[in-house]
Amino acid sequence: MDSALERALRLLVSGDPLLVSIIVVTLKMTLFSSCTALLLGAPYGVLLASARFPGRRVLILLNRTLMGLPPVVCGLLCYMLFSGVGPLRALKLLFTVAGMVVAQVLLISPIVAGSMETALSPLVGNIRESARGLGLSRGKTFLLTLNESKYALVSSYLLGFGRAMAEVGAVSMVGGAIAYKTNVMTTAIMMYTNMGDFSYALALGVLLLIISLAVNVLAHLLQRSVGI
Amino acid sequence: MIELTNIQKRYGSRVVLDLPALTIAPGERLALIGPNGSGKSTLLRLLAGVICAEEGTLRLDGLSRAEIGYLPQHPYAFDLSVQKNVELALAGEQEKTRKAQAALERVGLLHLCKARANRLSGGETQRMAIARVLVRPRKLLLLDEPTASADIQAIELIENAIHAYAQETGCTLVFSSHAPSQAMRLSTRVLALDGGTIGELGETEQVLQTPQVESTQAFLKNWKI
Amino acid sequence: MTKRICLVVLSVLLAFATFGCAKQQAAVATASDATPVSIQAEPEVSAAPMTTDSLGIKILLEQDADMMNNYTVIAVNDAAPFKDADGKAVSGVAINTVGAKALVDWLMSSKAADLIANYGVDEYGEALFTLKEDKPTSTAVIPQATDATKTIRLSTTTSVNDSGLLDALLPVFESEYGYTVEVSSAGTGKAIAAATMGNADLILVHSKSQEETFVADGYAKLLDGYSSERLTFMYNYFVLIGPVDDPAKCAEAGSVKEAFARIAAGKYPFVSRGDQSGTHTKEVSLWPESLGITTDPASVAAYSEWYLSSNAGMGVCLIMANEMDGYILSDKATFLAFEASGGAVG
Repeated sequence: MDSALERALRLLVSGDPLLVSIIVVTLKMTLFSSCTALLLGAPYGVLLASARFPGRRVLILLNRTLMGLPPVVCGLLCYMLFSGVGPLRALKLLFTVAGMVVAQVLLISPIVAGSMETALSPLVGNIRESARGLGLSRGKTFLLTLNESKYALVSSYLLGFGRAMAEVGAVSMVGGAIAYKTNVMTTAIMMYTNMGDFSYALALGVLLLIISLAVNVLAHLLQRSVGI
Repeated sequence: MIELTNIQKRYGSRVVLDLPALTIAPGERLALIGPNGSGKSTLLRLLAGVICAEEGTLRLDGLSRAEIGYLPQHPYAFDLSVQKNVELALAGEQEKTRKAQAALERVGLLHLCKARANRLSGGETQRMAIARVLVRPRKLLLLDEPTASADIQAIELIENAIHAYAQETGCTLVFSSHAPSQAMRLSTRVLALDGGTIGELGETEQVLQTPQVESTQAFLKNWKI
Repeated sequence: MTKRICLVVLSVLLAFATFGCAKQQAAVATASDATPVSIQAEPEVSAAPMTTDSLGIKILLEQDADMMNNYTVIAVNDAAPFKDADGKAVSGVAINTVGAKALVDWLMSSKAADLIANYGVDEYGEALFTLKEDKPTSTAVIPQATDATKTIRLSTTTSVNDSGLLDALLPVFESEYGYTVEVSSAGTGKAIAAATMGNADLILVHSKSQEETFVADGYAKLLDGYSSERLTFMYNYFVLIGPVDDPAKCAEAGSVKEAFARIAAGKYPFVSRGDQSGTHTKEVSLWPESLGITTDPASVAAYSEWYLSSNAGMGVCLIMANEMDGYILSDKATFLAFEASGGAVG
């Protein structure tokens, strides 16, 4: 009996060029998406947690709503924007990895921001009080808050990474799942599922999980060694 | 000179502080005593500028933000070394290391100066926070229960540090305390709060040993000064 | 504590993976090359030979003229009346007409004709596609790719893509002339819609009515050397698949329309693609008119007891038909691949 796990491992060592291309495109896209989402979402999330300004609650509400944006809707919106007849067609982002990254960044940044905001909000009151008591400026307090968010930063990043790698609705619409170019693991899994080759799709799925596990183990070890 | 006039602080419909008039002279050492919820923390927060009153005026003559030091009830230990935490208060000054270490020595924490501040015990955190707020001379020092989490030996250390600081800098000191004996040791005047209002205000010995107001008497009943 | 959590997580993953494939049959033939997309499945060493009754369904009727499936390629008109999402006219839509013509000329060339005519013979013993006798031919000189014309976007249907024909043809074209063909496949409706939104340089579909609408709306380009925008160049047959014991006696029906009538009369389970694809469009045209079955889901609501409108791909629908001993119209290539992999069940 050939289990999906065995099949997945054999796929991994088979060195089949199409599979290698799929894995490489997946990792490239996921890394770009998650890192960009982190750069955009994390400071925004910290700001939402720590700054006091009118309309802050509304922005938090808006961000939480965007966290629930269905990927396929985001994909459709980007498809229509980047389409040959769309307003942003000059950017030539349709059927490219860059276009997929854009769609994913739109999806994932609110999630990263929300995660940071949730982690920091309980701390912000005490931080502000102590900082104020020492006569520290607003800017200095913000930097200190950033420093306190290191652990939340790592877990928010991993959240974004996982979402980017597992996402299929947006990337299939914007990328078109073109072989050797924009076909990633999730779109390949969808394709095999639709063809009826369930066992192959499952093996690819297990492979995706293995990669995700590897990344998380790596992050965990890094965290330990740096002491976060 | 600090002057509070007709101060009212509310949380929703609940009035937590109601002070028609309160004057604190420069160089004075005022202890705030009273049961939980009597408004001690609120008053300190108000003086520190962390919160604002809905009504009334607060005058802090000639005091800029940098000249006020405030120690909250739950001081935050930043994710830095103990020494760096203390040095935070020394922004823009020279000889940070020496000053920080001196402050830590006074509270008996020098041996932990390189430790991660957020890994300290409750008592150690409190001492670090004391060192942090005492490392620079201030004109007004506000301390919210400075020895609340400290163990017995540390209480003496901390009180000595506060006392020495007050002597050296001649600052105005306002602090809250759960222990009337501490108020006895450190203050010149005592304000006994009762449900957000002034219960009794007067010279330390007089209020603590011969309280006139019933609420104060009730509070002090179980304490042997 | 963290170590224990890691162990639990890993064992959950392993358990899921081990039992995720519990029903896989031991004998998976080395039809790995026949798997419609060219990831090579590692060749399984099979002990038992392939038996026909490992599947519950088989081909009952084929080669009926009503089931002929004509494949047409159409180049997209760069001067078409493109409209954006709000319906406003858009100008300056980038279409690679040079690249599209190069690919079309090649597809109509004798070289491609050979490849098409031979595709499938090695795996299945028969060609999957037949060239039309009246197909256009081209002896035009095909230009090499330039930076501007290198990328050709071909929008096609899932059935075409799944048959694997393009994986056999396109690499030959690409290596000889230096183009890169980006193939995106979807249901017929979406494939054509992609072209009307300026996202394709040419389309390869098999749905006459939708093709004619595409041309009538001005989206098709008439290329030099051809007499029509619609270039129908090859065909194959749909096949009627059904349970091995064939309760509706479709195999004995003289024509596919007669077979469909029998299925309807006896209310035998039937699986429909239900997704407005070429297969779906053909299927609805074969039912007796009195039933009023169209591609509109509302038209089949009354028959839900036996007519299953699934809205899924061909492979999934075949699995459903296999599971419920139902009848289904399928393209032959997908069914052959399905059969060869033992029903491709997980």
